[in-house]
This record gives sequence, C-alpha cells and structure tokens, in this order.
Amino acid sequence: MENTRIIGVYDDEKKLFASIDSIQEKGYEIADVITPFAIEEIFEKLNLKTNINIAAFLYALFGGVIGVFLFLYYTAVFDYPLNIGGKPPLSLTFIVIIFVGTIFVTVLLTLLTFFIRDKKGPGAKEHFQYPGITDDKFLILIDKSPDFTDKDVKGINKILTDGGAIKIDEK
Amino acid sequence: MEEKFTFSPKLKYFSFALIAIGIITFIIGYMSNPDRAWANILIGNYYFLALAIGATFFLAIQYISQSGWSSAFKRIPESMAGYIPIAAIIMLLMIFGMSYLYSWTHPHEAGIFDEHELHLLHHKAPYLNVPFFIARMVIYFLLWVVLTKYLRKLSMKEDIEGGLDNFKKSELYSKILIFVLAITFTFAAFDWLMSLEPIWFSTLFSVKNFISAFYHGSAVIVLIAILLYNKGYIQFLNKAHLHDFSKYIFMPAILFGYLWYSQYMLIWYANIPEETTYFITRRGLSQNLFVLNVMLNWAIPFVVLLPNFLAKNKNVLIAVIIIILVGHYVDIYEEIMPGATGEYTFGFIEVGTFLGFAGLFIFSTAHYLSKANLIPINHPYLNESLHHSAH
Repeated sequence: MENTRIIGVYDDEKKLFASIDSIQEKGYEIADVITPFAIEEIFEKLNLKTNINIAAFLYALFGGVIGVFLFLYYTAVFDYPLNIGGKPPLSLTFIVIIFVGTIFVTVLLTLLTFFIRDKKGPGAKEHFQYPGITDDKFLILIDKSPDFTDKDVKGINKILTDGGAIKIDEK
Repeated sequence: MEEKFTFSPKLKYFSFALIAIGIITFIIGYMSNPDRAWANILIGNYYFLALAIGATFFLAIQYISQSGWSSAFKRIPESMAGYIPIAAIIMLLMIFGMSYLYSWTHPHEAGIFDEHELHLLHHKAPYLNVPFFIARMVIYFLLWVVLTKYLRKLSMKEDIEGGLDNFKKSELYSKILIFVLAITFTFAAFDWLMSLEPIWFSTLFSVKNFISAFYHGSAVIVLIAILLYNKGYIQFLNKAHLHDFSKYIFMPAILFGYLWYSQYMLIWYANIPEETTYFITRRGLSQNLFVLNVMLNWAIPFVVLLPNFLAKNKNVLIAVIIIILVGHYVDIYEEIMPGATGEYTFGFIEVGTFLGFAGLFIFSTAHYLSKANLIPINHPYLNESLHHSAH
C-alpha cells in the first residue's frame, strides 16, 4: 500500500449515500466505495463512466459476427465442403453458430478486458481486504494525501460519524 | 397525485369517424369481394386483439415480478385490455364469414384439396370442425374477459380502499392469467390463423404470435405513455422510465427475430412438403414483403435501440414504435392474406378496414383511461415509480 486510506464502515446504504454527498460537498475526493452488491446510485454520485459496453459491441461485431463467419466460411465452404441433405454449404444454418459463437467470443473478450483494466484474474494480488465487505458492510475509502492536516482528518472523521458510520478505520 | 384523463370530444369524433370509415369500406369490400373483406376483418381484429393480449401479459408480468418502476403506468395496459370484449363480439360475428375464410369448413368443394389432403383433413376433423371451433372461441374470450375484468376491478378497489390485500390478490390472479394466456392464446393462434391453411402446421407458429403480441402490446403501452406525457399528463415520466420501457421493446424484438428465424430455418432445413408450402407461397407472392417483415420487426428496432442515448429519447422511441406497428401489420398480413384469399392485394379496403379497427381501439382505450384515475393512487409501489431514477 503506497498511501493510507481513511475507511468509513456503514451497515445501511441510505446512510452511505448521504455521507457520500456530504463528503463531496466539503470538497474531499472519494477514492473508492466498496459494496457487497452493485448500486446504481453510486455510479452516478461518483461520476463513474465505463466504455466496456462499446468495447463489447465492437468485440461482438468484429470478433463474433465477422470472425465466426469467416471461420465458418473457411471450414465449411472453402476447406472442406460437405453435402448434408443437399443443402448448399453456405447456408442459413450459419446464423445459429454465429449467434452462439458471438456470445462466446464477446463474453470471453469482455471478461479479459475487465481483468486487464482492473488488474484482476487468477494469481493477481488482492487490492483491498476488509472484514465484512462481501457480507453486509458498505465502505467509503478516502485517500489520505500527504498534505492533509490533522484538521482535515478530523473533519473527515466527523462527517463519517455524523453520516452514521459504525466504525472508522485507517489502512 | 390524482390525475384524470379527459376523453376530449375531438378524439371521440375522430375515433367515430375512423369507425365509420371502417364500416363503409367493409360494406364496399363485402359487395365486391367477400373473401378479401372478411380477411381484412380478421387482420384488423387480430391486430388489436394481439395488442390487448400483449398489454395484459405486460401487466401480469409487472404484478408477478412486483416491479415498482412501472406501477404508475398500469392504467394504460388495463385500458388496452378493454378492447378484448369488443374483439370477442367481432370474432363471433366472424362466424358468418367462416366459409369465406376457412377452406376446411367445406373441404369437399371441388378444386380446393386433392385426395391426399382430404385424407389429412379427415384426420384433423375431430379438432377442426365448426361447432368445436366456435366453442373454443367462446371459452378463450370468456377466460380472457373474466380475468382481465377481475384484475381491473381489483385495481379500482385498491384506489378506494388502499392496503395490500388487493395487490396480493392481483398478483395471484396474474399468475393464473399468464398460464391461461399461454395455453389459450396458443390454441387461438392455431384456430384463427394457422387453420387458414389447414394442411400446413408449425409448432413455433403460436409462440411467435404470442411473443409478437407481447412485443407490439408493450410498444403501444410506451406509445400511449409518451402521448399522454406530451398532452400534459403523467409529468413524472423521466429518462429512467423511458429506458426501462425501451427494454421492453428491445428484448421482445430479439425474441421475435429469434422465433421468426427458428421457424423459417427449421422448415427450410427439414424440407417436408407439407411444411414448406407456407413459405413457398409467401416467397413466391412477394420476396420483398417476406424480408420486410423481419427488417421492420427485428433489424430496425434492434439497431436503433442498441445505443443508450437513443433508447431514452422520446422522439426516437415514437419513430421506432411506429415502424414496428407497421411491422406488426406486415406480419399479420403475411400470415392471413395468402391463406384467406390466395394473393396479396393492398388497396383502400385494407387501409379503410384497418382504420376502422384503429378507431375502435382508440375509443375503447381512451374510454377506459378516462373512467379511472390515471395514476393508481394506492398502489403499494407507486412512490418508487414516481421517483424512479436508477437505470
């Protein structure tokens, strides 16, 4: 860990939203919010943007639709055409395999992108660990930058406690 | 939060004018070509019945999934379901046109069926005969009318009494409703549409029609919601609602495309003469219409509603809904016309009869909308719907 973080632990997401608002009002930057489940409002409050859906669309288009089609064309038409029931080798049945193949390719590539962008995956070092974050605890993390004075730290702690944090920690 | 929709005289006279056009064109059509006139009655009536059934299914899903976001709009599908009794009356009137529409009612007439086909029809006779056909029709409509009216009654009671009792009952009846709808609508599509070509059969046909009904029904719900908003009602409608609404267009669009393709591909691949006649007739009559169906109902909505910012835009949604409503007509026209008349004819009789049914549908929907509060004031999830923001 390069720098320590102030951690506010909550057990109610309603209180968490209020605290996020009041911390942002005071002008402090929130490094991260950790919740046991996805909460849409936090994306809005922290102004988190993602382009992964655009990436997924491009994967589906080029990797899936075009890629799988070319693969099928090479195998079933160019390299080894088989006569199945008198149907032409380049036929409507391609769509079924393209459909399934597109989902497969897109999911794998999107997952891979997510792992690379987030430095996750098998064998990766864990970023952050705290008891209860996969259970019922909601965490606000604030980076403790070197130019924070004691007054700042106390101020943040006060906002967190006033907002209903059940515990304040540093890590 | 009480809001009432006023059925303006302008809209009333507009719908009456449309109904008058419909009646006149039907009479003219009946004089010149009864086959075509009855086929148009079936197209128009089935078109709007499918919308009403789809809307009912939408409503039932909202109850079962206990979804909050849609609760403020539930009067719209409830009002659309008001068309079902009207459809029942017209379908029962259609009994007089049965001999024009359904060739299996007079199979021994010369030149319709050959020896082999007559043999097949003889096997189907225990199911496909006139008295049983009418009995089934009565049962379907009885079930649909009773269940939708009861849901509506519970919803009205909730407005006055409040509390959770009516909501819980509605949820239970919604569960019954979707099972009833799934079974009865399957057989209804077999009876009314598939039996137009009594030799042909497809097991995917009914599923496709049911999904199509759900698809276009929910599209019309969205259309009515946006039109109401533009008229100054339901001002709480926001981007998050529109996004959720457009998911209900996007998702069944994919399902429709999937089932359309499955039906076509399986029949094409199996290559059984009894099955392929359906597509050979249609592609022989018009290759363009055949492709247009899947373009309007799947390709355009799929591509347009894919980007997030377009799916939340009211004007884009209205444009897409109009396109898929045309697509719905093309789909039903393609299913009915070649079976009933043996050709594609499109003229003022088609347009006029359709307008007549549109008038009926507008009248019944607006009438039921004006009968009750536009917003279900005592719905347990109403607050969630009014302040819906997550997307």
